[in-house]
Amino acid sequence: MADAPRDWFSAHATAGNWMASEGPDHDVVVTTRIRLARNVTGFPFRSRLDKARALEVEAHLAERLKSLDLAGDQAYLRLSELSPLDVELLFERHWISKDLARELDGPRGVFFSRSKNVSVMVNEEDHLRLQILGPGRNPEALLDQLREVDRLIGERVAYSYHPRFGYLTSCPTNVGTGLRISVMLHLPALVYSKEIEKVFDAAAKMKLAVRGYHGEGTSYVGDFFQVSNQVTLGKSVDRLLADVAKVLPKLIDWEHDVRRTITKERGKGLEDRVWRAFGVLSNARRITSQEALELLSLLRLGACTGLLQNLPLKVVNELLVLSQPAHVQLLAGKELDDESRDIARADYIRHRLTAPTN
Amino acid sequence: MTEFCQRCQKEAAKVHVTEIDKDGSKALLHLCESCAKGHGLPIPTPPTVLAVFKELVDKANTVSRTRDRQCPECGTTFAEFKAKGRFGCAHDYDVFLARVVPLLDRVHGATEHVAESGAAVAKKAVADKAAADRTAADASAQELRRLRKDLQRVVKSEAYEEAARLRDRIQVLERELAEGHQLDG
Repeated sequence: MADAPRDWFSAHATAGNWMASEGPDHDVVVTTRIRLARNVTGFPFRSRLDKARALEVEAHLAERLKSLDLAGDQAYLRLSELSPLDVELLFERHWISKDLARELDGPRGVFFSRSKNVSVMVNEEDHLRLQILGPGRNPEALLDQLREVDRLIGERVAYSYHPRFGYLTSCPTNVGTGLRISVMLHLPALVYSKEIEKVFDAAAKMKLAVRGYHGEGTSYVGDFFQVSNQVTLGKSVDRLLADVAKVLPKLIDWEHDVRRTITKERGKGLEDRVWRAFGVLSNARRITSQEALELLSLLRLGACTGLLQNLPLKVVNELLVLSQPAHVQLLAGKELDDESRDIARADYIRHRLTAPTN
Repeated sequence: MTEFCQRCQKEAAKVHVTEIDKDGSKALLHLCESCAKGHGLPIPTPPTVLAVFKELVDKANTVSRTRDRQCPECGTTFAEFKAKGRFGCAHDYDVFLARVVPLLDRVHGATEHVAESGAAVAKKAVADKAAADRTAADASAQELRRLRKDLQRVVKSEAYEEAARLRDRIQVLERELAEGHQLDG
């Protein structure tokens, strides 16, 4: 059992494995994330937990989560016992939420199984947030796995359940199933053709939410969008999954259609932008994570459409993960200030792109 | 054509009263304003104004009661919930039931959970009876709100027979709810 996540993140070559580089529609569907919100009976919700009660909840859940046997490489980590850098690493891998990493304080923790890509956050907005993350478009299989984790935790923990409203959550937007299915889509062509606004409108009509790269409360960056169900009450889990699954092919086809059209325009618009992105990334001496993400998005498009034939998608996925601030510091083996980080990032990307087959 | 007051036969009849007794018998009266006032009729003012006014007062009372109410478990008020968007504990869903139901309807287009598996169904079955009773009480409260709205509508359209029927039904429900609350302690 690992004590800290650092060891787990140091295998560079597999860093981007949780993002799709093969399988159906991997060029558009990057990841699927499913989460369930749960609370424990007998304790107030997060917003009304004082420090002592929050510690009690954390201890109560930690003990029970540690008794789970999901896989050999599982661990329970108290956030207060991790370095700020390690907390950021967990966030950049999408294993913990932005809120758990940065916004919330007090006793909180995360249980996770690395090989299953399952994490269970403790004292997030709800006492428990169970989530599973997987590459590409395979929500049914992921849901089955997460349901099993939910069942196992449910045997150990008394969930707060209402006869009429189902699983009770701190925010009524999650009540009922507590389910959120988020599919991360890469839609550079729709952004480029300015049709993305229509996607937002269509999604809103289907009661689906569109969020940024790191989910709720994060901005749209690098043409990555998380499409997720808005409704959690009044429909069964399977039905909610079907609702999201029904919309995906339409969005994917739409992105594909626009990609076909705009990649035909040789030397113009998109082709030029993709190659310029490649030019900057393989030559820059200093680059921010924001700029890197935007340019890597174009590289991902280039790798998927055959514009950049010698660039494997796996490498782009790896760079997407490793060019984030905490990962850059992990690679450097030390903490770096903003400026040194931008230099280290540029160095790493440049070397990786000039030898992509390594 | 102007209709004259049934009493003085001089002034134009401006007050139209339908009296309905508990046994269902009814009497129609068309009176001028002074006759209506002077005659000490059981319903001297047009029921429209009275009913609508009463409805508004009732509604205002209900809303302010809910707004001020505090969860006995965690101390959260509805105003606090509205400010934060987060409930303080599981009990809030029942304490603020009257506000929670329309809120859920707006957000989810539904007010009831649809369970999926055997495990969830089993849990539902063992859920405590008190909560089930509260749900029943809420159904009555919802019915009451619907009836009051209907009453307002039919009074406006001057369908007084229907109004009387609704009034009686409302009284029964109000009594039931009040008794239920007392039982809850």
